[in-house]
Amino acid sequence: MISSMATAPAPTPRRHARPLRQGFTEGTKHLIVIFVVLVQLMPLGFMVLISFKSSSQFLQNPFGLTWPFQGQNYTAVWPLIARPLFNSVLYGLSTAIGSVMIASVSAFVLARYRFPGRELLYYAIIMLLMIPGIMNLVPAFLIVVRLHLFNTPWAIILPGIAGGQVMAIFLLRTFFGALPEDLFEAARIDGASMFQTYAKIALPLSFPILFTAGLLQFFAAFNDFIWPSVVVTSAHWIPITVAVDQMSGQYGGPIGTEMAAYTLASLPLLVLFAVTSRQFIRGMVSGAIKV
Amino acid sequence: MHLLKARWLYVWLVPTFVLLAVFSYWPPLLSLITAFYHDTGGNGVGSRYFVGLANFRAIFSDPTFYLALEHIAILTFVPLLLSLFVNILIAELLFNMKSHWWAGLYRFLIMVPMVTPAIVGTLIWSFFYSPINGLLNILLGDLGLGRYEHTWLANNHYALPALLFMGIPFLWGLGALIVLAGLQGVPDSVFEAAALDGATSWRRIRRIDLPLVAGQIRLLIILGIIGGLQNFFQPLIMTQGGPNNATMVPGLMMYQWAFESGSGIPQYGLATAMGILLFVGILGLTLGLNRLVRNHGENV
Repeated sequence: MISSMATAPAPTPRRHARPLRQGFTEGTKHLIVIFVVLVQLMPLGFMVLISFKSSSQFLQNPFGLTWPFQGQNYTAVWPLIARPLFNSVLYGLSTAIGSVMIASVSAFVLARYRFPGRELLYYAIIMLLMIPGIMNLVPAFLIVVRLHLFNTPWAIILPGIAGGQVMAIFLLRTFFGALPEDLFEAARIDGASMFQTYAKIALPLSFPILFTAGLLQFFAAFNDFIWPSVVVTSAHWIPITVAVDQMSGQYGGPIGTEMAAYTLASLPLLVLFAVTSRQFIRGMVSGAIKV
Repeated sequence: MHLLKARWLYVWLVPTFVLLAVFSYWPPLLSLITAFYHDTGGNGVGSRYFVGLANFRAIFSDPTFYLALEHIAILTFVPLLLSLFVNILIAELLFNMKSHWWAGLYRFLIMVPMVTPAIVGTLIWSFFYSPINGLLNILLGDLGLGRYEHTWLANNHYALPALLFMGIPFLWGLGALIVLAGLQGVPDSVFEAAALDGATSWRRIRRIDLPLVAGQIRLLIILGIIGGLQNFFQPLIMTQGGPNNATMVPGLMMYQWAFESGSGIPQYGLATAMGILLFVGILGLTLGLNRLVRNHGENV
């Protein structure tokens, strides 16, 4: 006994004392996060679940799975939302491409050339990041009416580009400004025009950040509701967000088809996010932090 | 150095500034004019007459305005406080998680609500609260709590709490990721030093993590206030400010004056005046808060 105790390895001296309270175990951490995520995703979960139910299935068993799945909810609602869905993709793409193109030109000039009033012009742009959007809602509507853009796609696209370019200029100017001057100097010595330096040097180098800026713009335009609902009333030009809202109020049809419409309205962005989540998350976080 | 080209440089900036002139600089100026007129018909180009500050006076003497201020204060600050706690908690848990694969998956999942159209989430909650086959009442009935069933959004007492509750679990994906990015920006040596000193997890979070991400937390507070005070999305979709103005907020008053006058005349003057008041209030509050926090930080 005694000898065995003597030869038993002495407890290895710890480099530092074991903390008295270690905080959560790994398992607890996962449980808490999973719980919060589940609660957060619950509305979307019910949306998908109920979208496969007929009205009687919903009344009999609203919370569980019911067989057979009512795939026809989707085919029934598709004709009603196909056009708005197309409109939303159109608004998202044109806003994203337009704002990034215009922003990259301006950001390039503001970052790589010196001219009188440069800083003033730059601040005239980025101060707009400070203006709460709500103040512009009513006057921008009055302007759209005066310019005869009311009820046309331009009422959504042009203000989208105007507003979207601000953040993009802010991000891109920082990026262009950090590129080494040697690149541009060499191009100039070779006789490259200003447009060539922009198109052949600045643009290709900034492709990832251009993509991210456009991506954020696409999501913002696709999700927008209040502005489009105010400036576009014709059924031919409403985006999907406005279409599903109208459907919930007046359609009054079976709950399953309503949920199928919501699911289809959410699907394009969810798929796009699944494919681009890395760029999207990085863009959102860095955009928010830099402001 | 390229001064000679200056004239061409300005040409390159024309698209940006034409668009900004029309849709970003003109609107605030138009607000400053419209807010001093009383509308008597037409889309702001119809007949109207100058009334000086009467629109502002009308807003300040409207009891609904004060009710709306109270509501927007509740709808902004209660979720903001709760979401600060939840965002920091989730950020800390993800930061301290051993498995990067799982942490990455959770990061993806908490962003999903942010990329679903807000209108969809709002309509689903409307359906949860609906008195006809709404999930909440069905659930209460199934649990034998039928006496607690309500027409949630049409009830004076429950409409505002119902709008608050739909924020559950008060996690703002982007907010948590901003705090997480802040934590990841802290040099490892700081945490190693804390471990050597025998700091427990709780002590480390309180004494080291939180002060180091104070900048990110301030950003969340400011973004939350700016976004919260001008928000009228859920009342617009779910309650129209009702019942009996129980969920009325300033932004929705503005919206209804301009766009939901029904058979009456749209009151663009009143609406733009409200827009200006909201702008001044939000800007003042954020600048004041920024200064307050900054001074406080320097004194400590």
